[in-house]
Amino acid sequence: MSDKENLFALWLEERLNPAQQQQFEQLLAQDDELAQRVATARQIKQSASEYRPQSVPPWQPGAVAHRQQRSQPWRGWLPLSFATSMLAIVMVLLQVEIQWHKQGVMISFAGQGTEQKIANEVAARLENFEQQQQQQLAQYVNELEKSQQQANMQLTNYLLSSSRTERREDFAELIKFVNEQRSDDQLYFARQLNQIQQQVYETTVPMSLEPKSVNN
Amino acid sequence: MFSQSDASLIHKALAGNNKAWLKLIKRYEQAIYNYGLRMTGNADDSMDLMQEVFLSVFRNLASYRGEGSFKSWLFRIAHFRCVEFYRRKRYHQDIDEGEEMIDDRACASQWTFEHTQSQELVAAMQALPLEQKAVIELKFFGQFTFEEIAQQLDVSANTIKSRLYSALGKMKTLLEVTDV
Repeated sequence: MSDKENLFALWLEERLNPAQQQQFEQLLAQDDELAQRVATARQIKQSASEYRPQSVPPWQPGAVAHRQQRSQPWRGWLPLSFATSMLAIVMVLLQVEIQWHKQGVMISFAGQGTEQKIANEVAARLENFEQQQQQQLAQYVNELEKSQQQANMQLTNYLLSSSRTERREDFAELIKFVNEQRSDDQLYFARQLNQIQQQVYETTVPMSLEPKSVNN
Repeated sequence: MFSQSDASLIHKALAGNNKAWLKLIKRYEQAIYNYGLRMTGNADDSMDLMQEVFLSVFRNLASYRGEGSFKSWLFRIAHFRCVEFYRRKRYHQDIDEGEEMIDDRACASQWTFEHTQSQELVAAMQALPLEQKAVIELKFFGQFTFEEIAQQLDVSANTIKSRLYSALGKMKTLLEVTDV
């Protein structure tokens, strides 16, 4: 945009300062094209200022809104649909759960219903497991006691039987030893007696020889 | 003061207050109707255009964020509806390239002006391309600044100035012819 056009724009909006006003007037005197443009603008300004607004013919302004509402009948459902959407979002965010039971309806939040259900099931299973374990433990203890008793009985019987045999064998061995000892003693005493007899005989023999000479 | 009051009415209208909505329409219906008169040159078309503008405003009121005046936003919508109006009316013409659209029926005789100069001006405006006519309308009747017009029409301020200079050149000829 040239200075001339800028000055014209400022003049049109009545924003010329004194220096610009002076410059503009000088240009007007020199430039016929600008002068004609200004004259036309003044004429239009004058005519526009004399224009008297025509009054609006009778009409129904409210029909605009009704026409809009008729053309968009779903608009009436907007609040309801919005509320439903918000409810759905809130239910998802809060993890709302609705459970139907025989006793009635249970509404729970943040998965507490599921957690409660899981906790109940876990508790029931734990209790069942505990009972089974106790039964199995009692049965195991009984079996262990029985087997222990049987083992003890077997051990006792074994010990008793083995001790009898050993004692019998020991007595037999002792009797045998005693018998052998008696036999040895008899032999010893026999030999002693024999030796004594021999000694006795020897001591007594010289005297006997004399009877032999006597016979001579 | 007005913009605060507009904001209050808009707030109430958005909350479903029908009276606030009607008050908002009443406040601007004459401006929009006369905008339509000058842009179309026809009272019936202007009435249709006004209703379309307010219907569009009703649909898009929630998207108005209070950036700029409500009046500017309203006339921006009015301009878009006006462009659609001309597209429907002259769909075979490419209005974006500035084809001149002189509507033979769009003459000022269909509605009564109390002032001859105004009648001549509006009649001459009907010979302008839509984009140039919009700039003349918004500048001289709407009293908007170049920046505001640029925002309303989604173009730069320099483009608006160029369109205005072109429009003024044509208007000079048209008004001279009318004077003769």
